[in-house]
Amino acid sequence: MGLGRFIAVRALLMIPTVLILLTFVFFVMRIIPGDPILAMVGMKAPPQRIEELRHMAGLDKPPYIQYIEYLWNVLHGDLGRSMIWGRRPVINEIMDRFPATLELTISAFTVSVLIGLLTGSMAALRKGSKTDTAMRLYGLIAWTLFIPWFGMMLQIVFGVWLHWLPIAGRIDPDLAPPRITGLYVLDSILTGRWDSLVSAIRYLILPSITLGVVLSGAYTRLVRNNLVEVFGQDYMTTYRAMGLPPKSLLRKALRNAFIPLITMMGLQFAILLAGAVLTETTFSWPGMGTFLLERIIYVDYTTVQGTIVFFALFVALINFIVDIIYAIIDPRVRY
Amino acid sequence: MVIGMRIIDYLLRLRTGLGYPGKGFIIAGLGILIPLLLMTLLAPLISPYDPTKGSRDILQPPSPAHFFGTNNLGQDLFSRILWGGRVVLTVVLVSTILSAAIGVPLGLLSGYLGGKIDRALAMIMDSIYAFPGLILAIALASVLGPSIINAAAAIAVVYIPTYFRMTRGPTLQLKASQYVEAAIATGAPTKRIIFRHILPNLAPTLTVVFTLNTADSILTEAGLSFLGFVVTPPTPDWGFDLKAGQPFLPAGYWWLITFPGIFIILLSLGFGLLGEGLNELLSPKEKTI
Repeated sequence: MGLGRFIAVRALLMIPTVLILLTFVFFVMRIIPGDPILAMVGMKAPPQRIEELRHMAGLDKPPYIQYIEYLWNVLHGDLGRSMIWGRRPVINEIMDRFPATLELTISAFTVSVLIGLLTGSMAALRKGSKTDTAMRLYGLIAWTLFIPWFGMMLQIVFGVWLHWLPIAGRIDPDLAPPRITGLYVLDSILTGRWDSLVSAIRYLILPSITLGVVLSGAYTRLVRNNLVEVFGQDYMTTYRAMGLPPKSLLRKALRNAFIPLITMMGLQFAILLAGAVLTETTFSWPGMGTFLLERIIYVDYTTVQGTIVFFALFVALINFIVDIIYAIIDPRVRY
Repeated sequence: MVIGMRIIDYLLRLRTGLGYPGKGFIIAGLGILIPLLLMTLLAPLISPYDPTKGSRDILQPPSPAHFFGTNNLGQDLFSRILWGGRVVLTVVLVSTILSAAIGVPLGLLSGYLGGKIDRALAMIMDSIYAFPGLILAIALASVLGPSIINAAAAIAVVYIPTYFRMTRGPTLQLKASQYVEAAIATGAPTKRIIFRHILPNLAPTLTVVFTLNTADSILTEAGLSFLGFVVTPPTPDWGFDLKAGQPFLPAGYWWLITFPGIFIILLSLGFGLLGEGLNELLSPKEKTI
C-alpha cells in the first residue's frame, strides 16, 4: 500500500471513531444525567431560571432531535454558543484558550521525553544493577506523583522560599506579545520581543517540569525495555565486535528503540491532556482545563459540552497523525 | 483456584526462606498499604479530634498537639487525613468493583462469541479508552453533581474499557487454544467453557489489572476531589483538603498541602508496587527482560 492510500484508508476509518465519540459524549452529557442543568445549578436556582437555561441549551426538545441537531452542527464545525455574557460561539472561546494548553503540553512533552531517554538509557546500560532498580522505582514513583501536590511543592520551594520563579499565570501581564500563533514563546521570537520571551519561559518552567516529570515515568520504562531488547539483537553484537565506542552504540540503539515509542505517543497524549487540566488549575494557567472548570461553575452547559467534544476530536486527530508518522518511519505498518 | 494454589505455594516458599519473583515489590507494597488501611479503618478510635469541628487554633504548624498542624478553620489535619482516607477508599473501591463487574463479563462474552457485536463493542471501547480519563470523569461528574456516589460512578465509566480490553484479548487467545477446542468438540455447554475453562485462566491477569487499576483510580479520585467534584465542606477528603490549602501557599503554610498530597501518593504507590510485584509473581513468563 502506498503512503497516500494508507492515509486515505486511515482517514476513512476515523469516521466511525469520531461518530462513536460524538455519540458517547452526547450520551454522557445529556442522557445519563437526566437533567444536566439541574445537577449543575444545584437546587438553589429558581425554577424560572432553570427553565430558561434549559431552553438556551436546547434541552427542551425531544432527545432524538437534540441528537441530530448536535451531530449536524458539530460536523459543520459549530459547537454552539456560550450561554453566558455575550453568547459568543463556543469554538471562538476555545480558540482563545487552546494555544495556552498547546504551549504547556508541547513543553511538558519535551521534558518528559528527555527525562525518559536519560533515565531509560541509564537503566538499560547498567541492566540488573542498582541503577537499574533505582530507575525502575523512579518510573513507578514519578507516575504516582499527584500533579497538584508536586506542582505546589515546586511552587513553595522555587516560588515562595527561593523567589526564583513565578507560581501563577502565563506571562507578566504588561509583557504579553501581540498574538500571531497564540504561543507566547513563538510569538515573542517572531516579533523579536526578548523581554517577553524571558518572561514567558520563566512562567513556563514550573508547570512544564510538573507535568513532564509525572509523565516521564512511562517513558523511562519503555526506553529501558526497548533498549535492552535492541542491545540483544545480532546487529548490535556485530557493531560491538567491530569495536564501536559505547556512545555510538547507544546512538544506534536509540534510533531503533524509538520506533515502538511512537505507537505509545497517541495514548500518552491523552494522559498528557488529562494531566494538563490539573497542571493548569494548580498554576492558574489560562488554558482549556481552567476554561472548562470555570464554565462548569457558571453552568455554561453548551460551552462545557463543546469543550468536551473538542477534546474528543483533538485526541482522535492526534491518534490519526501518530499512525501516519508511524507508517512513514516503519513501512511495514502499511501492509 | 490457580491463584490460590500459587499463593499457597509462595507462602510455603516464604517459610522455607526461598525467594519468589517480585518479592521486594510485594513486601514494599504491603508495607505501605497495611498501615494505611489500618489507619483509615481505625480512624474513629485513633483520631484525636473531630475532623469537621473547627477551633481557635488556626493555621498552627505541626506540633505534638496537632501532628500535621491545623488549617484556617482550626481543624486538626491529622484527624482529617485519617477520616479522609475513608472517603478515598470508598470511592475507589466502589468504582473499581463497578467497572470490573461491567467490563469483565462484557469482555468475556464479546471475545468468546465474536462476530459483528464483538467488533462493534471493541471499537466503542477503544474509542472511550483513547479519551483522556480525567476529562471524561470531569464531564460526567459535572452533569451528575458533586457527591461520593456520583464520583464513584464517573470513575467507574472511565475504567470499564480497561477491564474490557484486558479480558477480551486473552479470551480470544484462550478460545483458540486446543483444550477449549477439545471442550467444544466434546459438546460442553458454552457457560461451562466460559466459567470452567476460560475465566480461571484469566484470574492472574485480572488480579494484576485490578491492583494497578486501583493505583490509577486513586489518582483520578484525588484529581476529581481536588477540582471539587467529590465532597463538599466540611467532609474531609485528601484531594479536596489539598485544594483548600492552596490559597495559603503564597504565605508559606506548607503543612496544609504537604500532608494530604503525601497520603494520596503513598496510597497509590502502595497499590502500584503491589501490582508490579504481583505481575512478576503471577505471570512469570512475561518477566521484564
